[in-house]
Amino acid sequence: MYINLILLGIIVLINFSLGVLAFINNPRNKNLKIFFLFIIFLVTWIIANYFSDITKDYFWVIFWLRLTFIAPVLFATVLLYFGLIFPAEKLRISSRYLLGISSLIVSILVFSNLIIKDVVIKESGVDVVFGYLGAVYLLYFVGILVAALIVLLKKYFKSKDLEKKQLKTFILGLFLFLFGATVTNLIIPFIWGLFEPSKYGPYFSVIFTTLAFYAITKHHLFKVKIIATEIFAVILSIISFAQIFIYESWQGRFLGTILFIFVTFFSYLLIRSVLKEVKSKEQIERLNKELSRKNEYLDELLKQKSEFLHVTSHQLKTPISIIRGYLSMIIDGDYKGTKKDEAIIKVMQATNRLSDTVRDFLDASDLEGETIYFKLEPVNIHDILKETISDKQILIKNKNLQIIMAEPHEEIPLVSTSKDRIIDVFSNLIDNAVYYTPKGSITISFIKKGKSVIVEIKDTGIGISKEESAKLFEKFSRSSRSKLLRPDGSGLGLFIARKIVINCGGKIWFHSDGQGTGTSFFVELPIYNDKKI
Amino acid sequence: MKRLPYSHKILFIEDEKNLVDIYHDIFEINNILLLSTDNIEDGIIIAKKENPDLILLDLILPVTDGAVLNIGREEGLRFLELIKANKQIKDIPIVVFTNLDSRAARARTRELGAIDYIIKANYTPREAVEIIKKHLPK
Repeated sequence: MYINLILLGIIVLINFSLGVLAFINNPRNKNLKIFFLFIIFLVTWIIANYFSDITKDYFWVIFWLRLTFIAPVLFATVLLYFGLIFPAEKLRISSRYLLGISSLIVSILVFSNLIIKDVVIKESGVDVVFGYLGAVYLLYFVGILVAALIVLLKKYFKSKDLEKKQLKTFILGLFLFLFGATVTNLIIPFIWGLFEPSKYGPYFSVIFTTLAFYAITKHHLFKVKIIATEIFAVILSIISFAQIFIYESWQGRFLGTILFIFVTFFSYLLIRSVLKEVKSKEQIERLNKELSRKNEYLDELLKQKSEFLHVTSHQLKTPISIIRGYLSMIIDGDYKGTKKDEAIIKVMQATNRLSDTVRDFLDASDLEGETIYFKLEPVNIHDILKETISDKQILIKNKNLQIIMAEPHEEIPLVSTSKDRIIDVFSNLIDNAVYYTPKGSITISFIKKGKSVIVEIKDTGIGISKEESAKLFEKFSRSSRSKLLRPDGSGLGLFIARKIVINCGGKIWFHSDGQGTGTSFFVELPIYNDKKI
Repeated sequence: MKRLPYSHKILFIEDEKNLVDIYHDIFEINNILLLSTDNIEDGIIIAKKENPDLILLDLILPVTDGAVLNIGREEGLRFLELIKANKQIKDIPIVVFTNLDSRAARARTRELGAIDYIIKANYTPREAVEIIKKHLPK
């Protein structure tokens, strides 16, 4: 019996020490309160378990026994609550009350005869006689516990990184503890009617509290150092506390007490200084990581820039070699008459291409990297599209295409966008539609959807294949088919269009059923303050 | 007017139509037949069929997956690899004729057996032809 008491004492002490250590580790830890509640209910359970076992007085036996029934319900309740709020979720107040009050009611009922009707005190221990609601108690407890386990496991599968690791350790501890406790305190007593092994249940709680402690303090990088210091300090304090009782005389005990206070105080200082050191190390580690991450990002950016420059110089040199080629052929007298006139037109076209390419490159280079938001203004996109189409009349006429501006069913609200930049976008999309539509029509329509307006530019052109669509909005992405129909494109038009639309807070996408089926491009822009034209 | 038979035959793998036109004309003046294609698959087929005296190879050619340029993975480099693995045509001299001015690409093409690397924009067609002619069999 004496050994049992010592063992239990040690378990209670370990549980409490872990609580204190967790507090010293990080007093602001958001899971600390819950950890304390776990410890309180566990220790209550352990103590009640012990006393219900050793007491022979009927009143006290039934009192302690009832406590051993209440503590697990409260423990499971806190567990469910913890599962619901982890890692940083807020529980609705009504749910919180429902959970709290129902557990409270069950706990109060435990003190009536409805759940525990009677106890039979035997030499070997105590047998419980259940009341009418004994099964209800069991169902409620198991229900809450299972719910908590399901919630925790769900959270575990959803979480990642540190949180996943924390939950893993926590759940492992919980399962080991529950397994031990269920076998000794539920399965054996309820199935075989043996209450004797229930006193071994408490031993399993240490597994849980240790792993839970490990889980909540785990995020410390240098945790081993802290935990070692803490264990050392606690052992030192316990020894110095124990030595008080070794002395017989009051002077000895007085000195022992002073020594104990000193040891405890300096242990506390020691832990604090180790913690401080570890924290600053962690800070340095964190800064280091951040720095190297930023470095990697800059390296990548530099690489991208240099690739961009390479491609730029290539794309610029192409029209230059065409201009140089034709001009030198004219100067050398290789091209004469009509051939010469044709060559001059080609030179002009190549010059235009050069200037467009330079403009596109500057745009792309400006828009690359992080999103820069443009200054937004109320814009009438219906008018803008009308203007854009009229600017392109010659182009459209040359290709013998029909362009249809669908009259909107309802008033189109003003959209919030950058007028100059959105003109570039529509101009680019209409150019594409014209170039990539050998015959047929281009239809422009407007759809008002919720708080935004969608412009659809639909053509009956060459369509977009699955392979092409994957890279359509990337820089320098042009298919061999597009190159055939529009040899002078820079491969930047849609990249720039997408960047502009995103920077205006809009969306751009396309739909095509594949090659030869035509394409629809959509631009969605937010409505400006809901004001109508 | 009856024209002279061509002295040489060159295959030009180039996707820029204007340049193909210009070089077609200038080689014609030099009595050299210029065959051309805008992709490497056809390039291999023509090389096998026509057995040209030299291949002029652009490095940056559009790929069917939509990408124009992948730095370090240019289509022209792939052509050099393909031709190297082909017994029938592996000995045809190849001159890289590109606007990609990159040290890495230059080194890689040399490794893969190209005999020269000419930046198109740096020369007039006449100058380029003079350089290319030096690589033709006498």
